[in-house]
Amino acid sequence: MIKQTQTKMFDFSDVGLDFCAGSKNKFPEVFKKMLATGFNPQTVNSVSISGSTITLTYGVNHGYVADRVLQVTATGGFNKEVYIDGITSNTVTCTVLDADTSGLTGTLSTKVASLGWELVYELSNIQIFKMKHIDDTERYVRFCFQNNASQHNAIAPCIGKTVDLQSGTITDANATPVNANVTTPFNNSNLRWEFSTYPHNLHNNWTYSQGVSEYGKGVCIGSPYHLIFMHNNYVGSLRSKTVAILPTSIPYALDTLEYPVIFGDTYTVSSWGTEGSYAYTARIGSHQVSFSNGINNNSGWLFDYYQKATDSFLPASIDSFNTTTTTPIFIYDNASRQLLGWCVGGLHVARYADSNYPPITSSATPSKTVDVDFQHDCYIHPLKYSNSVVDTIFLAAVVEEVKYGA
Amino acid sequence: MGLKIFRNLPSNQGLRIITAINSSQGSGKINGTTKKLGQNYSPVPVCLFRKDNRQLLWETKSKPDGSYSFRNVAVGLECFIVAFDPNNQYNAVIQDKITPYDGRVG
Repeated sequence: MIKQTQTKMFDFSDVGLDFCAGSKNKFPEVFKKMLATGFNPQTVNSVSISGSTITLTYGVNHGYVADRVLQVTATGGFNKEVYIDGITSNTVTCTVLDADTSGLTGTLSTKVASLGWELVYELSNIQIFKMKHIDDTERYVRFCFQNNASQHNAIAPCIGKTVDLQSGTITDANATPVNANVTTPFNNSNLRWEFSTYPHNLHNNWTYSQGVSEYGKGVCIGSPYHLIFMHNNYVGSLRSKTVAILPTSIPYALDTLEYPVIFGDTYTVSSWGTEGSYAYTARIGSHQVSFSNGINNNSGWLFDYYQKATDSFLPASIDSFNTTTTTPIFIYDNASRQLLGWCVGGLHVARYADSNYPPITSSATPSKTVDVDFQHDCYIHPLKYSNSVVDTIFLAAVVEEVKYGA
Repeated sequence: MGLKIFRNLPSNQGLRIITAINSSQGSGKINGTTKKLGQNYSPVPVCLFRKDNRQLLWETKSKPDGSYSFRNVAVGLECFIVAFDPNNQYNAVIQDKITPYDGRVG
């Protein structure tokens, strides 16, 4: 497999996170941990080095997980992200990808590595981070977390090029509309990321184990260039949600299109107590885009829910062993459905049909698989337009490097 | 208006992913080579079975160099393999107690 540290995966159950889609009081803290600070710090008792492989031994059960990325710092000068190959309860075996272990001496400390975003503003329910556009220029991402304790757990996200760090607002006129300076997430058609549909405060401090019977599984996958959440906002089948910020390749050198694409929920709920419909929207800056080529003339569709495969597997004459293909996500201008570009990586559409598809119940999705050629971990999650599998596509979040040479 | 091109990732040409739809399937792999009188031999039909209930999991044919590979098998699932002589000159051969390795690390 291709080991890399640029893109990381976090599970909602990770030691040091331990939250569920409904635990809204925990969200600002876990966002900060995943995106910027890292989490689960531990002190290493001893280290052994064999080539590019290092084995760290702890005096306690460390809580780290194989196939993740660990930040290792040493008083001898070593300060790198390493790939976790395997664990026992008190040891972690890792690969140093550049094979340079010099400075791995003295006192060693470790933590789960963050996505590498920088927290530049934090006050109450507002956080602003600095992330990278695919050309390595900086973008600001503002998250307005839910501050009404008895409403849905939702976030109003906004991406812009400029920021006012005194007021905690995005000042870019071409930023994601409306959300630049909101103080509470909307429940109307403005873009939001919805995590829980429960309009009450009973789940606000739930741990993962408290929430797993209601919300099932949840993962976060990202890098300095992208951020994907796959979770369920309710118990049962087809309660899955995917919201994301994805790196884009847009060939037109227009200031207004030099942003990652962001997508999330946009349906209006008559009260915060109802789930509403299943409408999603996507923006590059303030420009509304779609991932649907419009062939079905459904202007409200973010994806082409009906353009599915007729069989979930390639024919045996081409490839055996239940092999499913993925396609990149193409980005169209929403009004004209002319092609603007595509998502560079991180998230793909998996070509499933209406049978032999991955799990759709909250207890089993997102489900984990692997790609055949690069052996990257892939997380598959349904995205529905109705409560029928017929109106559902499957997204594949791949734990892959999204920019080479970064 | 200029044009900007970013380097494309291999995955944007489309990935092939494994779909495991039952407990016999997963990220495990089994590799081997078919031989006749010590020499690589192909194309040989090779069948993979679960050991515990003798259920046929996959069938493939060896490549011109005699190699064959099964994937989408549950890691650690005990299996056996039966290979058949396509020319019907010899009896089928069996390799028993095979355990798939994790294809992600091999």
